[in-house]
Amino acid sequence: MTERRPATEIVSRQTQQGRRRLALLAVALGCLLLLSFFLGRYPGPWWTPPSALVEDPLAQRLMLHLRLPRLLAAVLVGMVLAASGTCFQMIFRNPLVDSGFLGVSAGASFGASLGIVALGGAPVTIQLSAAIFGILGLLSSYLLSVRIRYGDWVLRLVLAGIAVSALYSSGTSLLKYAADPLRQLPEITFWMMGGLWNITWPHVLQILPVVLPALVVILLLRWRLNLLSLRDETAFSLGVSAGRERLVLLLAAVLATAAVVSKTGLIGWVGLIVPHIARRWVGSDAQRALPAAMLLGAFFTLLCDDIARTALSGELPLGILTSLLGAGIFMLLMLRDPSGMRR
Amino acid sequence: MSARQTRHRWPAAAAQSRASAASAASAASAASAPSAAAGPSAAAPARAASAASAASAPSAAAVAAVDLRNVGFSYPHAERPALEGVTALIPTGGVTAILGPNGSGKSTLLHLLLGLLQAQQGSVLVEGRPQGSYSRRELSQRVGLVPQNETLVFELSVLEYTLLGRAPYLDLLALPHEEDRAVAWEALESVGIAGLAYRPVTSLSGGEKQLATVARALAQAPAVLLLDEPTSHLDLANARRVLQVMAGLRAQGRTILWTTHDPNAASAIASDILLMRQGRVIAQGPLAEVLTGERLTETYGVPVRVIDNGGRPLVLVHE
Ligand SMILES: Nc1ncnc2c1ncn2[C@@H]1O[C@H](COP(=O)(O)OP(=O)(O)OP(=O)(O)O)[C@@H](O)[C@H]1O
Ligand SMILES: [Mg+2]
Repeated sequence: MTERRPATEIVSRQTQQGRRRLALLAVALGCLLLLSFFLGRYPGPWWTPPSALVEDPLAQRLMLHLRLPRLLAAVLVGMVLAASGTCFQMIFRNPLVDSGFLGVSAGASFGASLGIVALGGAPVTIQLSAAIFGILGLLSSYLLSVRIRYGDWVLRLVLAGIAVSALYSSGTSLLKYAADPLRQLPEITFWMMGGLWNITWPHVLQILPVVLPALVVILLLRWRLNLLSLRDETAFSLGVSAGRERLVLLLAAVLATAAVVSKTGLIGWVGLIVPHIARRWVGSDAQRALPAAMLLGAFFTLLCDDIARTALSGELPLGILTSLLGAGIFMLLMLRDPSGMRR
Repeated sequence: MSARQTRHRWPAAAAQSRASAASAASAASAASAPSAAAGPSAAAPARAASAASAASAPSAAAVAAVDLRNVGFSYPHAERPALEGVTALIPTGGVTAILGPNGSGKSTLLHLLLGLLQAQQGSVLVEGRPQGSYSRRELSQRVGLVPQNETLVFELSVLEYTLLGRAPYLDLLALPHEEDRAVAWEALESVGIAGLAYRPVTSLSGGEKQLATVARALAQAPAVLLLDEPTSHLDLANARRVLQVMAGLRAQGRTILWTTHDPNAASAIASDILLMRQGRVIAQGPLAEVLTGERLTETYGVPVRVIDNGGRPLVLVHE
């Protein structure tokens, strides 16, 4: 007769540490959010004093109608990119992919460029065109992949994604070549570097109906991601309907990414690097790694955006900062502990 | 009696009664509740009752865990079928070893039993019911797999990996409960690797990883456990450990079906042998009857001698 271990002991170290760190991340994000609200270049170069919120009508308008939606957008963007990146990495069993690689990013870039060069360049047009071509990019990757006659589904999708992305990139290059170098070209370049400078409440409200359900679906199915990261054989033996579950998760991830990217342009490295850091911090089990990635993604994007809007008197492109910091952190991590970045 | 003993015993007792129930709908719904792991003793009477009500219930012993009838299967674009006219009875509660040359269809057969591949001819009965009549979830509660080489890309800990074995009992949106953790922990203890619970699976040695895979399959509590060459990469000591674990499972009443290239490993723990060659069954039956020099020579095409080694056959290849 063996005694059963008390549940508390089984929950133990890993889980408890993971939970503590998740809570810590949530608190840190909350603090940064609060701090960011008072961070800015009005009236002084760094700081808007809380008293301005009641005394200075201009500061009030600025904070409530420009800064607040921008902060929320940064949080949403970070959450979406990190959550989608985690999904893609686990479903494709490949830590080097993110939600843009199936033609979504390249398609959206092409769409935005097309909007700028050929469709008049109104912001709404650019966003719509980016969203439509982002989804088209995904669709063409998918349709191509089911027609490739060799390899397993991962290889087929990766190949199709590479081919479709290359196709759209060449289209974008062509548009850049044809663009008015004084007016349109800088705008294309700026869009591709990504940023939140033009985000207002309507933008946030427009992406919310896509982004929120997608995030909820991904969060609810997060433990299943572990199962989907197993070999097909094993996942099948555990009763997983891999095809259906993958489809639901990938659709949620891609739609949310397309919605976000259409408003913000390309914001690199969040979807790639944040899931890595999250896994190292709370472990690879997606039950914790996914929420951790979302919180960390939000924190990272918000921090980068704070720098983007306050460091210089002009706006720094957010995508440059996320890439710069992301790649820097990535290298540091690799140098510090090679075993942690296995494969 | 501890919950642990109850749980480990139910596959044997319940499997037989369940098998003879022609329609096990009530059993299935009971088993699919997440609490099934916690309350097997509550679920078992329901099954027994439905078994008793079945009109022409054959005697429990007569129902094989797996019954293959004239099964044929070809991979797309293949020149010859991978399986042809395979008829075999896998006895409940036995340890059946499948032996045969490379490419003889052993893995294909296991994948067929798992439901990963569908038989193109013939029929597959699991616990007396056509395999197709089970839902995916029901089947995964009955048949588990230890694949030949499990590769993990992400660094799940051994405990987290073992917990994945509870998936057949969890709803789509559910997270593992404390009960599931307890079951996973027991599985780790029963294969003797509880000490590795917090190590990443990716950092384990081949033998330890194999044991973790077995633990994951045990947490699934399947009545029928399929193992594809579970000892192929292991050293003598680790191979012996895996074989001992399998023998222990047999003592718990689970049905085991495993493939191996080592006739002496089969000889050590198997009760039954299935010999295959080129997608066909050459012989099937109790160990002593099938593991003979003549049969093995026919199977592998090399001269094989079998001598008696204290009641167990010892297989030698001679020049
Ligand atoms: N995916 C596949 N597509 C086409 N043919 C396959 C496939 N998998 C296996 N086969 C063929 O089916 C036959 C049986 O293969 P199977 O893997 O079942 O053999 P095995 O007995 O498990 O061999 P081994 O001992 O080498 O593992 C072989 O001829 C093999 O070439
Ligand atoms: Mg094989």
